Amino acid sequence: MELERTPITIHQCAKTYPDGTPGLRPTDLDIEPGEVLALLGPSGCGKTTLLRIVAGLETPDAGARILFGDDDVTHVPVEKRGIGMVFQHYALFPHMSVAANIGYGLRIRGTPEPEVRRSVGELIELVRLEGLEHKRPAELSGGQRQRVALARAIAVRPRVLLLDEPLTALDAKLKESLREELAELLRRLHITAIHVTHDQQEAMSIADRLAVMQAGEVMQIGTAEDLYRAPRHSFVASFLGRVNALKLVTDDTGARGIRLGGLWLPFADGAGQDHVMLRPEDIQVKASAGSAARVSHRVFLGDRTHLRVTTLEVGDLLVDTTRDCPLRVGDEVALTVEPRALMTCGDAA
Amino acid sequence: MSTAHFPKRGAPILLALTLLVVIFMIGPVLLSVSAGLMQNYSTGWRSGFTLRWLGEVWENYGSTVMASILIATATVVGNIVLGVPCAYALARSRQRWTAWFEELMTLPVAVPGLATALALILAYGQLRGFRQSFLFVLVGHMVFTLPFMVRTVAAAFRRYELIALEEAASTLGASFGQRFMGVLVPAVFPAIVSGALMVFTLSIGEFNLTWMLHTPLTRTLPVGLADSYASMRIEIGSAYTLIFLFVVLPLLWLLQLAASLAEKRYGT
Repeated sequence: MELERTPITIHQCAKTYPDGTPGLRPTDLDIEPGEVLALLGPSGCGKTTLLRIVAGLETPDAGARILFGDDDVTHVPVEKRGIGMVFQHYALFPHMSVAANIGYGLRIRGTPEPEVRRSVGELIELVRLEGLEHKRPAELSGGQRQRVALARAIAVRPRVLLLDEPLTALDAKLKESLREELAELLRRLHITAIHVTHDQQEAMSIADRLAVMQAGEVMQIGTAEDLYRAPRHSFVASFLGRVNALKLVTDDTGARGIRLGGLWLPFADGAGQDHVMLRPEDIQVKASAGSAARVSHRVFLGDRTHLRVTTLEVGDLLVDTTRDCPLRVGDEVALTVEPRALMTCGDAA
Repeated sequence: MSTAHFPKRGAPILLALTLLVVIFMIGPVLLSVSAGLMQNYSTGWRSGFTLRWLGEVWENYGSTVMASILIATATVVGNIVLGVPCAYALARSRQRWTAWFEELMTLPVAVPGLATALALILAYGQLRGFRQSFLFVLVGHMVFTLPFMVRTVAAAFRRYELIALEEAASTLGASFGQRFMGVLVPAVFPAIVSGALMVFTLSIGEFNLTWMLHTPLTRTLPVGLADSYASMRIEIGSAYTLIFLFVVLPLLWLLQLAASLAEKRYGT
């Protein structure tokens, strides 16, 4: 099943609620044909509002423009926009069978019955629901319902696929396997998709690009690697993973850098900044008696170990080490950091 | 341990209490009904068993049975046609006045039926054709029962899942009519059935509003009942009660069955 690839252009989209609170600040976004873009952020950041505006379920403030390809859909009602949407709790029609749910959009359009049946059969195979065609949604597991919702959304061959927290209602184990499955399916369909989530791992594994949002604003857009390695905002850095914020100081010679457990890390390009960021996994530790830093907390997580190291200069520091880390609480440690692991952020952290 | 034993020790007392209450409530019904099968109530069963009173009731008041069933059915149909769209409108409106409207609609339940009936007579009494037809009684029943249907169904429409279902249908291209009939109404069907059950029950037993609205040619079963109690011998009144139970109990039982089937078929 190959679907149309439509670019999406969002121009000056904003939403102010009737009581005056801004749900979404003026936002511009361009989504490439066939690209999967994740809107990532904490709850209340406006990501769902933006998705619902693209869907046509919310009206943006005056001045907004939304284009699917060359088609201006800003004033097109939701039922005529040609979208497919997967809802957080799936919103499957409880009185219809799996097959009837998937075929609903086609029947509404007056598609001839043999063609509906052929399409539904194809989709059931695509999302691997064979044998469940005549079951009711209430009789399915969470993962199966999620697949029905996806099949129903793509059955109508939408121009754009919108996913509103599609995996949130699932338990952690299932989420992980369905994440891969969904990513693989979206690649196979080559459909332009917007995927809303608050889970950064979900966003990283499904989307081509991520738009990190906070307080109604898109803070940064880029690939997962870009955002993780070169965040332009401390919020982006901390939302995508754990991070240490370290104070920049000036030494006797006037050079700027950070002091860390007896190390001096020069940092030249931090003009106008007073902090730099350092990921916990970019710090190496090894036992060294007499060192000024010591392990104050240790959590074993199976595949790795989280340490908290207390230093004289910057206080507590988060450090990620390997599974087999021999260090214990109270051990004195020496730190090693590659100077290029230091990241700047555009703001004062 | 003591908590685990508590219900067991309490059980015989509870059972006895329950039985006592049941006897206290069913006793008068049985007594009243049995009077309708005696030759003479003052002499009791010694006077002999008879179906004569039932026959007389059927002769004098038989037409009220059918009238009541028809009015109750029409009230249910009217409630579905008017009440379900009204419930949807109230559930989806964000205007403040809709909350007022909903309160206002419940008023005829609290206001004595006599007062509601008087208001209807004052307002529409001059329309002779309307005043003298069963339609007038039907309107009274609608006014009284509408809140029961509307509130039950509006509560179902307000559920979060229903809003999501409606949105899902619209993203799939369904127009308002298609969403309403194809998705929303089936999803609230159990609520509609339970509302209908309530409306039917209220309508078939409604007396005080109907008593004001009826004419000699538009009598319902409860109005006939009152008439027989007031002007006939006690055996006839009792036989009439028996007929009422014969008509109402199987109907209610059937409706209840339909409601539980609907719950099974459409319930989430």
